[in-house]
Amino acid sequence: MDSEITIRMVDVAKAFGETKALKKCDFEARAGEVHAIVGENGSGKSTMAKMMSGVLHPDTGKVSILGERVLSPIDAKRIGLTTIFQEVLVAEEASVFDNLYVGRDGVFKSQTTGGDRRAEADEILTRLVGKPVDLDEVVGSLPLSVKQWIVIARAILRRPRVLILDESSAALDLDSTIRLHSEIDRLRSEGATVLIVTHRIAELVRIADRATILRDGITVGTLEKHEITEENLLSMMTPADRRSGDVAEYASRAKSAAPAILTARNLAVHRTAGKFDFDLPKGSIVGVAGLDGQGQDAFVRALAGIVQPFGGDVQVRSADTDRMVSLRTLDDAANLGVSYVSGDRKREGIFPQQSIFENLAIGVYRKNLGALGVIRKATLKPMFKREVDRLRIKIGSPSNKITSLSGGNQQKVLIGRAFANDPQVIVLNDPARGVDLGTKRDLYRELRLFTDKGGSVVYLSSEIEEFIGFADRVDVFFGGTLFRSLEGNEIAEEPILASMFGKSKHASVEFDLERTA
Amino acid sequence: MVSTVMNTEVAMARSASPFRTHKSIAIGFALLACLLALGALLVPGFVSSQNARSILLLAAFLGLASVGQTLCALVGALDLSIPYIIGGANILLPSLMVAGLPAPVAMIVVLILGALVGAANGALSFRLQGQALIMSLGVGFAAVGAVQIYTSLGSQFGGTVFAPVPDWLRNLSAFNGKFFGLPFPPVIVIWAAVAIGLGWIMYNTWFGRSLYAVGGSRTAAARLGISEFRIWTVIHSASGAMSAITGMLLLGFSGGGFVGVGDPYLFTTVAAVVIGGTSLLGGAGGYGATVLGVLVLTVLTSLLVGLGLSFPAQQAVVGLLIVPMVAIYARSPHIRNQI
Repeated sequence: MDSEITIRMVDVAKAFGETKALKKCDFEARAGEVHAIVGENGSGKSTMAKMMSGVLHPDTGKVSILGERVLSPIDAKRIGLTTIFQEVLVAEEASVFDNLYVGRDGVFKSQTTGGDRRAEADEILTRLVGKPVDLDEVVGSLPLSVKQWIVIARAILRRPRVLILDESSAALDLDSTIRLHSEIDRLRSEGATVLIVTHRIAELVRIADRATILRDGITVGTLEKHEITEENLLSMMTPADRRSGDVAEYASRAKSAAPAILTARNLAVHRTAGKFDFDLPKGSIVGVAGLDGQGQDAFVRALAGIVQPFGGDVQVRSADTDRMVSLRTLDDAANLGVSYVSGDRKREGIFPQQSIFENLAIGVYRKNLGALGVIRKATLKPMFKREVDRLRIKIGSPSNKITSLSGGNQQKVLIGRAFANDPQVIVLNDPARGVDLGTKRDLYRELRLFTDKGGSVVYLSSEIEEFIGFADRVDVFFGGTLFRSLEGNEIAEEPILASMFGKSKHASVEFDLERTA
Repeated sequence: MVSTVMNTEVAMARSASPFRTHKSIAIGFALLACLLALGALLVPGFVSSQNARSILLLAAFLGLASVGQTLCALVGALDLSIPYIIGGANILLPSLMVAGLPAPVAMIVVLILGALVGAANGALSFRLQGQALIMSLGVGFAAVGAVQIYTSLGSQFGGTVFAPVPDWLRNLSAFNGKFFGLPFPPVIVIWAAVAIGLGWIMYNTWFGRSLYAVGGSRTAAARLGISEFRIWTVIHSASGAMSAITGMLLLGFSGGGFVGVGDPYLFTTVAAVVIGGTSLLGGAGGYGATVLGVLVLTVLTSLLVGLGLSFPAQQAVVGLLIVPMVAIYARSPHIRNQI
């Protein structure tokens, strides 16, 4: 295979503020190959794809596509590079036909005639969807899977020389995946480069000619077709120092025997995925893991009463009656003592224009109301001081705006808000996202103290190493359902990562094909 | 090492924050002082108890009408039904009195109707967010239309209604009204009481704080179990009630009902909120700021009238004032927060 190099990245680095998304990335893809880019969450896959499409620019190093530098998405389009993003980007109110050809015409000139286009569009959609689609139908009224196909058809109609699929098959079922693969084969045989960014190991084992592995923002190697096996991929994705599953310090707390404070029965957090049960033993920390979009996010939100599950029942042991009570709404969660902390501080945590005091105390205002809804602020001051001291929040004056604090300290204020409610259960949704190591340690210590006093914690994280030496159990989600529970020695990098990719410990590669169906 | 970084951050925040928070207030006061000084220099008789009384009287009407607009702006809404409810109340009250209802009863009826129209407006606007502006306009039109249909039933009245206005109502808001013998109309005192009361409520009650929470971050507020729908309904209802009160007080001021009496308040209530420094995007500002905006706007108008400017020229000047105001504070904090 000595064909032409279509994509070349040399020594590329990219940082977003303090976070180094890519540290050292070297990459080459050839014409007429299917090349996979694999890695854990946050290893830099998407950043890489975005640089190739001209959405982001490297801080250092060089990116060239077909020998040219890509300065903008418009450049990329001109050169012949098309990206299919994970989100289904369609104009809901326009027709199927208009969606397929959006952005193709200049203001006054069009490249081909309407009749040719309709025939072409009709043919490709029939091939992809498996049945004809009415081109004049309004896209908004079509099912999600057809929308996804429209996005893919739009890209293929552009006859790309380089096609990037960023997790594009995530929403497709097996039958559709096969049709997508035959489409990819067709493009390859026409000499195009197809890059697939994917979480699905089985998928890339089947169709990729080569695979490049990213770990912590570094390209650690490229595998040729015959080297692409599940074992090779997993071991390259995991850093050597974490591979052994070093849990020597881990002291098993044997808390799974404790009675459950929170249970879920026949829970379904995804429309079609399987139902599952969940138990949170009193006094324990249960970690929740999964690759992006595998249902773990919806699960923890359902536990906190923020979203309604598609089916099943969440129950919490009431502190007053010692009976299990159903939790369906935020009010139920508040009454039963379930607090929620989001890692998405900006969107669902802080009130940016308000003071530090207000941001911490607002969660308990309602429990401290006098006549006519007057808040007894004076009684909240000792609580505020206690939380600030306990969580070691570095503040100037309580009346300063919350935005004057660093991200880590803002997060601590939100955790203080959760603690202030004196909860039985704290549900944390990736709370350590973008905070420094010191803050993380303070957080782990406080949560441990909380569980030592009988509290219970559900801790979702996108970083596996957070669980090690911290969680009593890790529940891994895959395909919209609880896939595997890990305890004791299994709480280590490799078993967790394997489960996140949908592998049981000793499963073979073939096994996965059936699973995805 | 970490702690030094934190400390500098805190120190920076401390020096920046007070200015940022009070910037709009400082600008408002400076503007007011400038206008008063200009008036004193350029307009003979500007500094007189007569002129002060007339400025405060007009400011009181605008201030009461702007209560609802301020509350709505704090959650990122705008209530464009205010002028129509003012106009509707202004003709409904005299026609109810002509129909034989005693004045206090008629006033309570008008007040309740105003609050109900406001509540409907809030509920509908919330359900159709994105179309909220046109929705509040539509509800206002419908309300004032319904009132005119009522006033024209079996009478010669249409958009203008004449009825004997009780002396006490006239005294409340007429230019030569007396407050317990003091030489200014009681409506000024009413406005001052509303301003102080509302300022306290906004700062100290759960209602006030949840309003700011919804305006600052809808999702974060929802996580705390604050019902955005309830907030929208309550504040629009309050806005409707305050508009009805303003409309009734304006009857005491003019002595006769006229449906178009509310028209200027479409622009001026929004302008007072913006000049005061309450962000139309929600979450920051308050009624205290609006009081300042109301005063600036009223003093400016009085100055322009004193200088002999025609009504169109006054409008042009006030309109131009809005542009720099929006540029100065309505946007900047939000962009900073995005980073």
